[in-house]
Amino acid sequence: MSAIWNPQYETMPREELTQLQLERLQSTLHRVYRYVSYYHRVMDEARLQPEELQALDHLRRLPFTTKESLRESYPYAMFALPLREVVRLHFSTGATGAPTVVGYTHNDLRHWTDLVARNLAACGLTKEDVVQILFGYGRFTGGFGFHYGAEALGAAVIPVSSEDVPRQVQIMQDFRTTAIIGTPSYALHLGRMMEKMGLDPHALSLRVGLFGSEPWSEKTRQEIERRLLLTAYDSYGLSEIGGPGVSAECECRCGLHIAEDHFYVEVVDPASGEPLPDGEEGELVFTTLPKEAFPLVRYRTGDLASLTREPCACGRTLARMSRIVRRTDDLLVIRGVAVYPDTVEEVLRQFTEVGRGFQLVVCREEELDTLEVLVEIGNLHDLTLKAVESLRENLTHQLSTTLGLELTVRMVEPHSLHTPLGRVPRVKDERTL
Amino acid sequence: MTAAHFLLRLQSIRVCYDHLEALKGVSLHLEAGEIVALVGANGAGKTTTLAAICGLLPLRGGEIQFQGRSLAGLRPDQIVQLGITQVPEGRMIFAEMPVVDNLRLGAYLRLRAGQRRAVAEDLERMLDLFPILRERKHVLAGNLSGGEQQMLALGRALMARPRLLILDEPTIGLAPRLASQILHTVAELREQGTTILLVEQNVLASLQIADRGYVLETGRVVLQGLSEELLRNRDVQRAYLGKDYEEV
Repeated sequence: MSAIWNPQYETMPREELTQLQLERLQSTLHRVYRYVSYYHRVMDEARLQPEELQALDHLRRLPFTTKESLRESYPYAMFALPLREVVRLHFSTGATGAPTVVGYTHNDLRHWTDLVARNLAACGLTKEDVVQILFGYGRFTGGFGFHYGAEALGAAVIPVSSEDVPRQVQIMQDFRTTAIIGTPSYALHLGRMMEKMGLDPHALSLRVGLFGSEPWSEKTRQEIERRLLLTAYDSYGLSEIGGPGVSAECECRCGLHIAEDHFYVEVVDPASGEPLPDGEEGELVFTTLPKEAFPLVRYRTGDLASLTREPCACGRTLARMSRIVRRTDDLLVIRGVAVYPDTVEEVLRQFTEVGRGFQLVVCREEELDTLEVLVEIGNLHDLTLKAVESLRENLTHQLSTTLGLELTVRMVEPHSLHTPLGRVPRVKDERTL
Repeated sequence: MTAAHFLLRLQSIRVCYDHLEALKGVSLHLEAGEIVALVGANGAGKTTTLAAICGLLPLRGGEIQFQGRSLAGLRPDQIVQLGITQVPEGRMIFAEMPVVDNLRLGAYLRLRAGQRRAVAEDLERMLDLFPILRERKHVLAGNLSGGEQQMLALGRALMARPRLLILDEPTIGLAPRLASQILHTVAELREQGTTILLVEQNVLASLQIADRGYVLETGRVVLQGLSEELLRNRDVQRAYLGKDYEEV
């Protein structure tokens, strides 16, 4: 079993962790009430003074903070400190809409680095490793977050960021890179391109991959591992609450340990906002604990997961969250039927003639919702027109049976719906509600 | 892979003087072997917090636990027996008694329990720790200088072999050289395994010897963290370290 980077906090008994969280939560609430006009107003409206929160579960008496409130506060109305005391700014990627901005003090950056170092140590990385970072180094948190964490661990860090595949592979070969960190879709792309270009993964020294920033499936994990000959770990974070380092898998790979000394986590029913018990899937809601520049209270992530506080074989006492496979934004309600794009993906995967990309287009015609599913054809040359039509009919039948919903399927050209980099908008909701 | 164990835990404690709420839900903890500093302006609630721990003020809400056991309903002397000893601000030594007798008095409960030999050994240890007290062990305590009296008060508290030593303004009224000598001794005590909760007007000096700190303002903890983090925090620098906006 790999070393635990910060045993004091990562293996803290639950009772003591609760005490620590309470202390940190109370001082955070006092500070946001005093320094952030948004929270001052919200608490006044809830007729709640910070000192009335005397136990962790009293927090649920406060309303949620949403992406919307962050956007409205752009550029820095939600900062708890003047900009002159902030030493770094990052922007959230946010799949849609206007950007949001996050600030860090020196202390915030130190904490962040420590959290990421914990994640890297948890998947077995040490100072002996050579870490190649594939995340972008721009205003988003991925590149810098992992970079400083890996440096703190003492590993040799190569900030390659985005490069074409041959160059990327050349660096891996020349410097015997042992670990890569990036998005799972890029890792997959890398693996597939290597095969196309006849590059042998056996010539590389990769042993660990740490991937995150987008939902990915177990199946994708297996394919990445098979193609790149490494063990792939899942990591989770979001810029709004600080970036990577919020949670990650340990070597047991049975859920992602949440840094609960830094984040108070809740899982709520996405519709009602009511807290859900451990084990039930709901929306993750985080409250930052020791953050100075940009503390957030009850931030709704839109990410769906369940929690467990059962002990983990690795010895960490921190709660574990299930892997994120879908988001609340992905949840589509069409004519009263809940549709997750994942379900569509699962059906499509059963058809070998189908490509990777697809898109759900929802429209409203005369008060009635319609769903059209655009599906990429895998390889145009292998199929006759007739075969495409029969595939389309087949898909229509399978999908409408599985979803319990009438729909139409349109076949589109290969590679017209997905790009190897970035996220694929799997849903296009054109309803005006 | 050992987890730390909290020696003392305060959970959302509230204390009132008549209608004035002096502590509005203060939570803090000490791990065994730590020095923790309680920082804040006059009237922030530092001394009230210490008095509440020692059982000198009743709680209006919340709970205090020492070694996992609630202190609710215990008298101050019972709390002392559990291993919590406070050196109050102003020292409170017995001026009419010689130094050695003042020290022996600190072990009063242990003498009553028949630990005569252990107490004699500790007395020697104290005289080693504070050589100035050995020199002056037969002098009446009232004739000691301010710094010597403070050392005597510290030594007397240690004679009780406390698990938790609470120090309220140990350097108040002392010349800078003596003050730093006292704080140096406090740091040494921690090296020997004593857990210390420290209230000190000299915020910089106290955070320099403490592991962690809590910043109290009007009965609330508004900041907490490792000492090095608090020293780097610009609010702390401005409010307690006398630094100007231009400097931080």
